[in-house]
Amino acid sequence: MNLQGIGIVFSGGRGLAALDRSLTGAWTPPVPLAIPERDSAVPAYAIPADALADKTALKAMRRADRFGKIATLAAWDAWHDAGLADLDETARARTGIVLGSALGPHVTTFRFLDDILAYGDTEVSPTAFSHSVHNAAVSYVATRLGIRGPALTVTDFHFSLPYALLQARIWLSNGRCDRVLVGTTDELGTVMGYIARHKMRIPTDGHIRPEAFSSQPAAVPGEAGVFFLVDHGTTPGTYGRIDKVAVPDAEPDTSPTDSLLYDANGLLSDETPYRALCAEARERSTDCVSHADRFGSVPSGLSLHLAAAALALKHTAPDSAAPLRRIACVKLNGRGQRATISANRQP
Amino acid sequence: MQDSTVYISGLGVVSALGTGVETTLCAFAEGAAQAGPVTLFETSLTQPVFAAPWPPSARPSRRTFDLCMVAAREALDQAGLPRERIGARTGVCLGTTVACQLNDLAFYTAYKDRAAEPAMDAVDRYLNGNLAEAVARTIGAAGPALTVVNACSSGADAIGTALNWIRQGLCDQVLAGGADELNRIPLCGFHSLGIMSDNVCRPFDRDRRGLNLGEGAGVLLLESARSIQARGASLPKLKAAGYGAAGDAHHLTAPRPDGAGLEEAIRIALRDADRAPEAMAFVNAHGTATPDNDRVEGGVLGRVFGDATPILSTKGYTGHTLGAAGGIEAVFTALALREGWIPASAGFENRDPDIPVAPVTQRTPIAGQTALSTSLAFGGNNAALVIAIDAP
Repeated sequence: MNLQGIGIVFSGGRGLAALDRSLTGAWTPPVPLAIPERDSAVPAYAIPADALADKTALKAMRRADRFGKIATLAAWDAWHDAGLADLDETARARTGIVLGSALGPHVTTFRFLDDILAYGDTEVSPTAFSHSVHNAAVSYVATRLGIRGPALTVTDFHFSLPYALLQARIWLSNGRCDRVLVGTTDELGTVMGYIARHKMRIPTDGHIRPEAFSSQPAAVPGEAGVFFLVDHGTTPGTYGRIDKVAVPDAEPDTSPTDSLLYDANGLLSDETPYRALCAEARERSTDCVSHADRFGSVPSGLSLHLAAAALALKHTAPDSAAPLRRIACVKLNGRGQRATISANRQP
Repeated sequence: MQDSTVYISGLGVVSALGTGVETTLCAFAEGAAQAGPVTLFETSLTQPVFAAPWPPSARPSRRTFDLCMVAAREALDQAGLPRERIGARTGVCLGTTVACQLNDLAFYTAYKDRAAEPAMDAVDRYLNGNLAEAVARTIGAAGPALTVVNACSSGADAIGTALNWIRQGLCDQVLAGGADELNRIPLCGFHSLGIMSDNVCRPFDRDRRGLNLGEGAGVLLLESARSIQARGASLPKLKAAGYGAAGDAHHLTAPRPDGAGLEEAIRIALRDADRAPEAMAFVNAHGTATPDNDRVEGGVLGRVFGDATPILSTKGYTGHTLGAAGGIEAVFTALALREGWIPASAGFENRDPDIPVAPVTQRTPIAGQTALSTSLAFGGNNAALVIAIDAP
């Protein structure tokens, strides 16, 4: 799959320049996420409000919830980054959308529950209900971009991106689609903030340490929307080519890989298995890095790592002393399974 | 290595019609609708629902999973798949709507009460309760496990996804379908949208007034020929022959008025199965009994199939089971092909002059080896499945 466009909205802002700044600049501490119902706060990597302000991309989405806006902005940017603004209607009918999410639009679900508690079963808001359905965000993406191909929303706590990419690859390889907008969205809210405070080991300095491979890892809740535009065309990918999507990945990856990005973000109860994974990679002279401390504990953080990989592949000069040719992004789940996505620079 | 033929080696179902395929067939033959008031939870809403004749789950918030396991175990038993063959090459792909949300009112009420500390057991159940993951853990499947959350087409899209997993060689077997429980949250939601009927639903009828909610699960064990032969079993007669999906890009909750997305999904499914419209022995329509759905869907079915192909909606027997509907109706479609008849479309009496097709009003013998099942969903999703059976 050629990687032709990327859109990203995260705690560092919106766009690849913001991602680049976040990856190369000094570490930025999380900000307090207020939990008004409990007169408290939790440190979080939250998307700044100004990153979600765009009257053009979000036109006619006045009633959309925040989850839908995050997804739509990321998808909009990936679409335009790939230069598809003028795509004709026939081509849009051969475009698919896949969205993965760990928890979906839970903020809207809780808003709907507020309605039930406040007004009873018969006087609740239809808008809140219709937006609480997981695939509402994809409906907005499809309507906003005029995409009439297949649309799928899937949920998995750790592997939402690999499963979404797997579906994209199927549609491209069986000829159903010529291109697919594929991405993930996970958002924060006050209730999840409260849950995070009870379920996560949040470090006092707000710094998570993926390289510690801890049996009791620290986590700081985070949120992000990331979309990729992938195709099977003859035009090389602007950001390279995804050559492997394996979920679960039971086979050892023997292809030469320059860098391994692992999303150890504190959401597993035990991160020690990453130690062996990295040790094995380093034996093969593969550099191992996690950027989770830059984004926080985003369940779909593998998307941010894939975006980072794509950016690195694009920006590393082929004639440099150590050119990056292939980067693997890996993540483990609670069952001890591994998912792998690899991207390489196209000749 | 790709297997082009995907077999249905097991079927499992639970709905308001009963538990298991044989009970379901008997209930269809008797033609009885089982709608009644909500008894599973407290609500001030009085619209009838179709509850599964199955005791309330002993484990709160696990009803969807428990319903799903009833259907999954039946499908596995029917297939005769030995436990030792379930493993890394076994996938699980299931659709749902309710099971993917933390819509636990007891937890949320406690959370809102500043003086209370809400118990976290509901949260734990939710965080560990991804439907496909939970089923995969339970049966020991270690291949891909994916929960599809495409609203009311989730079950059909899950089966279509599983079909492609086998075709592309990712799995040897996949448990695929959908499950959803009756739950207060969607009940309130559908009521707020004004699309629930005060009486038992009447799909495609001139006087239809909306849908009734239902619950249940429908699961198929899809399997490659290689897998079936490797375990020494005979190749089943039933096949998952085609899948198509297309979007409306129109509205969050209303179908596109011209039905173009649904028509595209149907035509893609037919092409995928390499069948012509006239080869369909019948169409198991989504047929929710809302004015919009049935008008749009009926128009599309008229355009694609004319009025010679029998159609039916089974929502008059089960209610709208949301994320389970595509799975349950795929099981019904397979059973009808196996048995050679379709039941009367419960609730239908008077033809709607705005709909070019009308469902069957009595038990109807069918001729042919292929049938289509459609699903429409919020978000503008449309899905169609083609199921086939070998000639006798």
